[in-house]
Amino acid sequence: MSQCIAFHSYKGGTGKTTIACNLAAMLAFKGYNVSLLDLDVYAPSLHSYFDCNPDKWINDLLFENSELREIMVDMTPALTQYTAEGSNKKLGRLLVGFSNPQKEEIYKLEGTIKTANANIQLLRRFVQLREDLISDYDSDYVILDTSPGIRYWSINSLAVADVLFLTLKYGDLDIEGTIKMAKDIYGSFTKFGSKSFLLLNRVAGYCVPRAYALGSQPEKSNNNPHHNNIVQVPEEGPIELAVIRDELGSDTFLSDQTRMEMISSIPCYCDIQFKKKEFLTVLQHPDHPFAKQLEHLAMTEQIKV
Amino acid sequence: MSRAANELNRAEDQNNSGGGDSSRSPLIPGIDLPVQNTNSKILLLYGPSGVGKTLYCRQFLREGLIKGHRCVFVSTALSKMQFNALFSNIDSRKPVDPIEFINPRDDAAAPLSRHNYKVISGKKLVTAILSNIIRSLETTVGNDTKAAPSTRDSIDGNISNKAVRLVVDSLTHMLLLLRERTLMQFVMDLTDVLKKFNATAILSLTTSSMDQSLVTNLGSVVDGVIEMRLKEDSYGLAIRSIRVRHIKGAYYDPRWLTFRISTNGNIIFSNGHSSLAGGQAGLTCTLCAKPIIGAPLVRSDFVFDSKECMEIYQRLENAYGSKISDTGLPSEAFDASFFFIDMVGLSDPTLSVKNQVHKIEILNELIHSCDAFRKVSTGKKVILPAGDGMAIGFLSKPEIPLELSIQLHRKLRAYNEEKSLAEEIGVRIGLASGPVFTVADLNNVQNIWGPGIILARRVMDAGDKGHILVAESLAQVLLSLKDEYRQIIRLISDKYKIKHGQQIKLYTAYSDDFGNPQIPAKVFINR
Repeated sequence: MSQCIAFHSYKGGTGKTTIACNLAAMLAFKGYNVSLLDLDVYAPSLHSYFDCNPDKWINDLLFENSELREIMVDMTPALTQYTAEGSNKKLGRLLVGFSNPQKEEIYKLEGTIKTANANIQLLRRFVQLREDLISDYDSDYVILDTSPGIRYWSINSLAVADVLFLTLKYGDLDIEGTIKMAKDIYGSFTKFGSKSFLLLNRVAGYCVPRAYALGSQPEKSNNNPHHNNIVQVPEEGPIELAVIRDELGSDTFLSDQTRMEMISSIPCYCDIQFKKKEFLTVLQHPDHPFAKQLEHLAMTEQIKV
Repeated sequence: MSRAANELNRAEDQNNSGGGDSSRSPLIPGIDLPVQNTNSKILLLYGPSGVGKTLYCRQFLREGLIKGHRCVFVSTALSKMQFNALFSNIDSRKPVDPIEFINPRDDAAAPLSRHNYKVISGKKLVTAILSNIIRSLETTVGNDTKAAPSTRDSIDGNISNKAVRLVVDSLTHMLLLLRERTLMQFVMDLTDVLKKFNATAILSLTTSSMDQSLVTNLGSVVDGVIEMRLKEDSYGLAIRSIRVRHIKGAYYDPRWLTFRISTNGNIIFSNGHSSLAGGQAGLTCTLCAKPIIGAPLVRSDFVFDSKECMEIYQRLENAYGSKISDTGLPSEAFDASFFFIDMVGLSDPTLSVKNQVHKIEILNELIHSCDAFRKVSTGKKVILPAGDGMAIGFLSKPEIPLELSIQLHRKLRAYNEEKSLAEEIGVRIGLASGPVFTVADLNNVQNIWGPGIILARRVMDAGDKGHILVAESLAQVLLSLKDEYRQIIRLISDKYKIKHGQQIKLYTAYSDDFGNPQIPAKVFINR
């Protein structure tokens, strides 16, 4: 069995790419075969993340200018440096497909979808891409980093996925939009076999004092930007499912509104967020709360293969 | 062997025997429209050595001969003898005119000696080729204008006349005799000349990955560029494919289409929808367009090859709502009636394969000879091969399937009269109607699919040899249509159980010279 997981959001900047890359690396490090695709076709960034300038892109495959083997870059060597010296740890494989950031390629993809005949060919090749990654490349996980919002390629990406992670950054303006989008779009997918979850990102509890985060009834402070976003953080071990207490009135407000289970809350990680370049934190800093939480996510039943 | 492979082989067989619909050009995605619907197109065909460029050019001219076009083959590399050998085994069904061969460097009439060996190169060669082409084409125009002098268009300087197909195979060899700049000038001059003669031309170029600038330069002069590529599969077998890189001023599809070269040098396109297969359409998944092997999954009146495809389609349909057609997927249904036929006893192990094939061929011929089949235009009928028989969907009058059944039965009776038991052809037929949807396959060939096809199959399955069984929906329409149908269509079961426990009303059509008056065994048991 395999799982195709799509990371999606209402707005950009919610951390989809960072979480998708780290989760992909985490799973590959645990021995799974993982294929990661940059389907944020309107604003690709995986090539920057992996500092890779491939000869062939996903765009080439969609336009039949290349074969699948030409576009999937083996990033497994990037993982091996994190295995303990002398360790016999068996890694999985991390293959990454990149989207072309050239504006001509983005226009081409956008322009082509206006032609029905060409449109269906692109869609079919896209469906085939996912199928081939699972059947020909034995991928246990296919992880899709999608475009935010309701756009042609984000809808198509969500349609081919088994599991949808609707990522949102708490305390931002995207909550309202996220709820609306979840109601408008996600029902279409879950009705026909997809599983969808909320994934809360950058939740307070790590970069703010732990004692404060753990306070049962913290006093509001206008000086603390996180005063409304409190996560239950245990003394040790991974952070459990977020329980949000805020003026929205209910601990389960988001889940109630979107009818989606909150699968995980990723803690705010300002220390790495403001690094010049975040790169596979889960492997570089496996004890970081961010890494711990992602490890917890990787092991959840909901995405188990 | 897969259905796709069967169709491919059938395409080749028909092609080899000349029995296919060879009047159609090879279906390179996107090329038909620009080549067939405009006055003149000069195309550059490039690809690596051995990919099949010359044979594609050969096929291009072969198709031209069949259509009655004037055909010219220009080469600086081939001798007349080699040219004759290249075109010796084409099956062009009475070509109206021979292909003219032009090579100023080759003088077949003169005995070869060091005294008369022609060494022409550079601008002289270019001039000689262009002069020969102009002479050849003007001769054609001259001959034709004697018959129809008004065809010469003096307003825009174009000579609208008999269509011309010209091949220059290859520019690569000319590059050995010319400088690149002279070659470019030659192509520009040739383009100007050909545009005045309503000509479609292919100029071939053998390239390596180093020659992209030459392709780009030549591509800017011609009207379109076709690319061929050659790869190896994991077994080391050659995989050839072709696509249109660009066509000026026309829609084109940049997809690669794989093809192979038959033993007699014909280009056979894959995906089971070769134009040479007579336009027969296979059953393909609505979403992924792959041929469906085995029983299709049907949902919302669409057909899928897997649960996964069906679910993805449903998600898209739900997400895009009424704008599902934005994805390019089908959204509208229309009514069709179906004729499903199965040859009884064809898979009898005592029958030789040769005998089986012969019977299939005879049945196909008989069906094609029926007026009911012939009078429906190609665009209004779709043939779906199905094991021992076939399904034919008619998008025209509802009585066509019944008329076809009656005519076919009469022809079969006449055929069987003088045949031994082993040679006899027995069939059972199921007729039904229902909504269908158009589904574009990978070659943009429009297929149809709908629940009526399945119902026709179920109805046919209920019958024995000689039965013409009709589903209720179609029977009711026919009974209300003509009084004579009331004499021949009879209800035989009002609760016949088909697959999944579904109950249907079943009718049979028979008279003295068609159909089977007996109650089908399955219906009898089912009662």
